Amino acid sequence: MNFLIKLSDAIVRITHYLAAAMLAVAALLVFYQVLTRFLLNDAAVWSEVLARAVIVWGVFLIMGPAIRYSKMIPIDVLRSLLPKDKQIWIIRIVTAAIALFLCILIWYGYKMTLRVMSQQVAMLNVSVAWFYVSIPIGALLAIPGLFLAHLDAERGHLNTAEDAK
Amino acid sequence: MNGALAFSLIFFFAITIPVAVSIALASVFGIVFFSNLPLLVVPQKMFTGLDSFPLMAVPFFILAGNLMTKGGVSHRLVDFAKSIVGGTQGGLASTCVVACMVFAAISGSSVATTFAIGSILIPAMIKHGYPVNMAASIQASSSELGVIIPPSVPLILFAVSTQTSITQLFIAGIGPGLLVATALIIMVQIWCRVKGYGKEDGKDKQSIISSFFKAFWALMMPVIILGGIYGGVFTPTEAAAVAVVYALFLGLVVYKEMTLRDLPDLFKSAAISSGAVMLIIAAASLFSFLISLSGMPNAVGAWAQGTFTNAWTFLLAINALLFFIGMFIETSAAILVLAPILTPVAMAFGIDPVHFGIIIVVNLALGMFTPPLGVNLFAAAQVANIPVQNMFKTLVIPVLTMITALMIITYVPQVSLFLRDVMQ
Repeated sequence: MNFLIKLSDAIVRITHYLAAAMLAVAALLVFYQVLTRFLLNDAAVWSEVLARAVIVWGVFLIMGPAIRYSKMIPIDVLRSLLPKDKQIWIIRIVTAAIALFLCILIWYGYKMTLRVMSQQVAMLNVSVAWFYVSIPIGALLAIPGLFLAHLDAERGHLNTAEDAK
Repeated sequence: MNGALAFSLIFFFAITIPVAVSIALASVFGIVFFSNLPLLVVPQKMFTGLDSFPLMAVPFFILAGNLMTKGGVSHRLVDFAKSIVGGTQGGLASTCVVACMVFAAISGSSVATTFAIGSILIPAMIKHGYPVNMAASIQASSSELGVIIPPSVPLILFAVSTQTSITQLFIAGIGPGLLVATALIIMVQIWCRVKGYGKEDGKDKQSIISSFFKAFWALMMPVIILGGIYGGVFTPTEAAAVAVVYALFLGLVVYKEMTLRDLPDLFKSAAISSGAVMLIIAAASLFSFLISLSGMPNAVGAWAQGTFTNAWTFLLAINALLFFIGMFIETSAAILVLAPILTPVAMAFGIDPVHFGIIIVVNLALGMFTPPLGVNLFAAAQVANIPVQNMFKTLVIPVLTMITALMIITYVPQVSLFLRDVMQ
């Protein structure tokens, strides 16, 4: 169990750094495009396509950290109306729903990737599958984040239950 | 399918499933039980929804806002705002409005504005004898300028989800932004005189000229962003990337209030907050594909045409609906789900889509500080270190002020469209 937690923690941290780096790279690519247009009078066209791919990768990679740090923006009205010891059931349902969502993305994202294998991206001469594969990979790497977030919720529930005693 | 989509979405929201996941699962529910589509459309539409150049302005503007807040821009803008309006009774409260207005021109989010300006001005107002609830309420309401004055993340989302021009929406946001700022300044001036607060606000204010020079590089930011977009020098996305680089330059080189070590954390927090919005966008593009397939805009349109006799009553109903929705639902989700349904209907009533986008965003901005749930409320309460409920009573005044401004913006289209029409 301890090993699982450490591994999950490492995956969340690494995906978080990667996603942050992707954001920085995308901004620099677009800035580079502006520079080439002004300085060389000839805008680099590949930078725009690449920047879009990098942003898509960054968004799917950030799913894990966003779930882990509860930044996925729920609408929290109902949960706060329930008594504290019942709230854990809502959290369990939410975790199951997120898990279902991730599984759909993993399985159908994978199938979609296989299907677009032969399509080429204009300007870059690579398969568009390199873009689509961010969906199953991002969703797969988000599972440790979900696991840790849920573990915290269960532990918090145990603590409040003990406090009540 | 329409009913299934709507009800499952509301159900998922109600049991506190995160917004992006709720929208995606409601779509999956609709696909599996009410269509012949394969589930392959889920990754496909989520991908194509994200793979868009105009949309990239969203994470870039969020990142630039983060960098600006940390890089020493906000307190220079506050000093500058204070040197202009700080000398009157209630000068600090007016400073709050003006500082938010200027910060709004470099930031696309109202929460960022609350933290950047509020962390300086809420303590300052309290020190000058304003009640803490009033200070927090003024800050929470002024921050909404962050999404009305360009650049604005909600305006980009409206543009992307309805194929409207970002540039036109940005121009159209200026008039309403100035109107709202004026209304808020009048409000705080009267409020302070009636209650007798803020009599010594002008004591430590600097001269306009010296504070202008100190804030000069920060003030150049809106000139570069907006001037660049309106001058046709670059697209909004390119302007956002330039803003990121410029913000780095200001923080690291000019003001030196940021070091290279701060960067990983700033990029990480921007990646999370922009990623959360982008995931909603991805899910919403799947959702809006389904609703356009099922003909919901036409159904809503036919119903609206039969129910409302003219644009006046339609807009009143829309405002009431959005005000209600805005109290509970997160702004980007509300825009991404509702704008594709409502905008064609509004256009059938002869309403300019740019004007309609401004109405939606101003209305939902009002929802950002309307109890019970408003992102600015939570941010302001956090900065002021009080429970959100303490602000409910004092918030009545700014909410009524804003409803008045919203009505003017709704029924006088020129407020939004005048500048756009002049510039075309």
